[in-house]
Amino acid sequence: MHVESMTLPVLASQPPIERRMRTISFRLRTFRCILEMLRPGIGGGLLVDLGAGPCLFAKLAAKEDFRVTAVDVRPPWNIDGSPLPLESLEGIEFVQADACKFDVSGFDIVSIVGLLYHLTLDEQIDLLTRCSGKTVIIDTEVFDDTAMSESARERIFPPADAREYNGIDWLETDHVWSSKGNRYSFWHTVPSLLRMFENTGARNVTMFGPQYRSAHGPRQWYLLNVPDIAG
Amino acid sequence: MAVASQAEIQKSVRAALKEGRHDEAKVTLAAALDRWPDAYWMLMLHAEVLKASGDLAEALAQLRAIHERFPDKHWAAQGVIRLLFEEDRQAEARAFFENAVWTSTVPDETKSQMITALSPRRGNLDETIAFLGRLLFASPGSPAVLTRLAMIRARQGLWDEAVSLLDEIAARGPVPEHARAIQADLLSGFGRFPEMLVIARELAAAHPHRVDYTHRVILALSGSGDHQEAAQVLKDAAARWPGDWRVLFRLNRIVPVQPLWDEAFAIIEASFNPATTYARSLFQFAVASLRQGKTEQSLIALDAIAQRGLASTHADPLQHVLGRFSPEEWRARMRLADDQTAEVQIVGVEGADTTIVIFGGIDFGLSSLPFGYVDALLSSYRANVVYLRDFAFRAYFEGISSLAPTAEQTLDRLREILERLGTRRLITIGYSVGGFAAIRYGAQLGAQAAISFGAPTTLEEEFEADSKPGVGYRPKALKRALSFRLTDETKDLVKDLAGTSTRVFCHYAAQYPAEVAHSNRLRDLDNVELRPLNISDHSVAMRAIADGILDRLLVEEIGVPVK
Repeated sequence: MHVESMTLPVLASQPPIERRMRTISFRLRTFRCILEMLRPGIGGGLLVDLGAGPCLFAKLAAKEDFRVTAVDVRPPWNIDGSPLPLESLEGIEFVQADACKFDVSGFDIVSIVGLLYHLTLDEQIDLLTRCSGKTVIIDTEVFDDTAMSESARERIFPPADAREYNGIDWLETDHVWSSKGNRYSFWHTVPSLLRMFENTGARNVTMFGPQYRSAHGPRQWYLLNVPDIAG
Repeated sequence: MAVASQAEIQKSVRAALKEGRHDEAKVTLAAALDRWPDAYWMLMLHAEVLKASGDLAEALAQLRAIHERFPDKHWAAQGVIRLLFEEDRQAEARAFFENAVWTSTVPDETKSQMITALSPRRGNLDETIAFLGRLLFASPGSPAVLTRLAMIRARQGLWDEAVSLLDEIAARGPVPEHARAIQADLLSGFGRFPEMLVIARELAAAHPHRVDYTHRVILALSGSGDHQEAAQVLKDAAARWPGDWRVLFRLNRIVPVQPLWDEAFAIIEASFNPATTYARSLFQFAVASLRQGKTEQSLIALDAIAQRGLASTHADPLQHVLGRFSPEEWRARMRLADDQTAEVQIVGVEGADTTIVIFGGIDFGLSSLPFGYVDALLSSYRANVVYLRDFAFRAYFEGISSLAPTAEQTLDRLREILERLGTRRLITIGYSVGGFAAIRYGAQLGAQAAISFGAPTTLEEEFEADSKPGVGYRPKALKRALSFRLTDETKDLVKDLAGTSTRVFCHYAAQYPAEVAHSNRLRDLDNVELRPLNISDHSVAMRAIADGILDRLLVEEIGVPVK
């Protein structure tokens, strides 16, 4: 698997919004940069956004002329947790379904933004195996023992069954931003995450730097199987 | 027909569990256990199935049994603890950890993570500390336990103990990296800046993208007296994170070594956009702009805060004060070319026999107002004004270095200045630690009046801790660091005021417990008048200026002549 690093021209500026919104703003701008790299045309531009939540990324992709299907196990919701009217999702097909089981075979690009770290290790492996060969955009928390916040540290458990991977089990909450159905999710270290990408069939990985921080610790964007890199 | 492997069976059992087909999972598993009765992960899966089926007692029993049978493998023990933890049975989880895990061969990293999960910084901390104490009893000097204990003590505001614990870890080996930033913060609170600097530099070098680590380097350099390098690092930080409030905050609080300080501001200014700048940065930018004499630019930043509907306890009164005059009139009224690099500046007024001495605070002005603007306000009075800054960050306790090397000699030099100005009546004014100095120097110089805003009245660290329970390790580091440099005799203002004729006007925020507690210590002194303002934060000086309280006090009560 070929791995390369790239720095995107996205400034971690601080718009006039509070911390969480600031982070979302940064993530949206990064997502747009990645979409712009892909826009010249991968297949028919069919993009599925798994774990779409408030559909912010799905809306952005639709605005960038991708044909977008948004998938989430919950009905669409606003970032404050309130229900999001379906009318506001014009141009997007919303499917309420378990993102881990959704059939991604008909899509050119799979967007896994803010989802992977809410899944168990088995679910992550299964999902990425099903995405094998497709272009996949991933934004995820990564585990770095030196960089976790003190409050995050209290939600960390040694992994119950990490097999050949390295990382921690993360105690999920019942919050709308959290996972649904699993009490713990698995957070990889960066080397472990790359190993999982390789083991699940990724031909190449682009790591976008720099890492940025959530309230918990470091996060990073990845792009799997970009056609022109794969050749 | 191909026979399913253990891995395939485990996968199918988990899939069945996820879809709620518990009976199917049990049947599949039972058949597998018949084939592999001693397979560790199959037994573990049995516990998982029991748990998923809601049979928690059986699941626990199964995990305990697996642990007894395979004591060298830690996953079953870990499972017991997780299950108890999830069931909110923390005491049992801790007991099991103590008995079955702590002294076992479980990897240290695993133990450390479990300790953290089992000792959160909320809830009954006495029980948590007792738990950690028992672990220490079994394994004295364990870095994992000492680190956790230090984190909890820091959260409780028990800095001394937290620092001692971290020192103890450091004496045995490296402090875990995640605790290093907190260690650096705690060391700053004890004035141990050179030690803080070593840690801060290491953290910043290891994580160059972390602005908070660079921020600590600048703070440690300032505290260590290396103002040149502090300014250089700040300028570099301004180029990397021009909109970050911590960079701006530090810009306003380092000794302004030139030309680096102006260059850092210019970098920030070049990328300033009021529409996209974070509110906290906007305020710091407004103050920084004022220090450059750029009133209009400061108003733009303050207006951006107001337009967003954000109530700001510091920005609102500053905006109110700036609104008193037009930018042109501010400039016209300033008799002072505000030299940010000067510790002493004097404005002499022909024929004036009153002199006002302003003790600048930690950001080198009177609260958020730089001396140029203070002078514009005081230009209405027939009074000389002496503006003071303490670039040693010692709140004038050790004098003003550019005047004299000691506080005593600084007093002599100030007396000479006052005499030269023809002073017959002296008034001292200061905010926060500058207010402490205004009272102390005022009393020693024989001032008629000393006016303080939000000033501490003792720097006894125990009092600080008592008046701000649970504050933690971040704020008030300067005052705390100061308290460790002072002798007991010099920490308390009450002694200064006994037997002096100086009238003290002590303004404080009536809803801010720390300021109330400090002010109340002067309540029984005849020459002290306590002046509460109905606010709940540390913006009392700006409020008093904005609401005309300072003007009325100077004119109506103290009798300073108006031009």
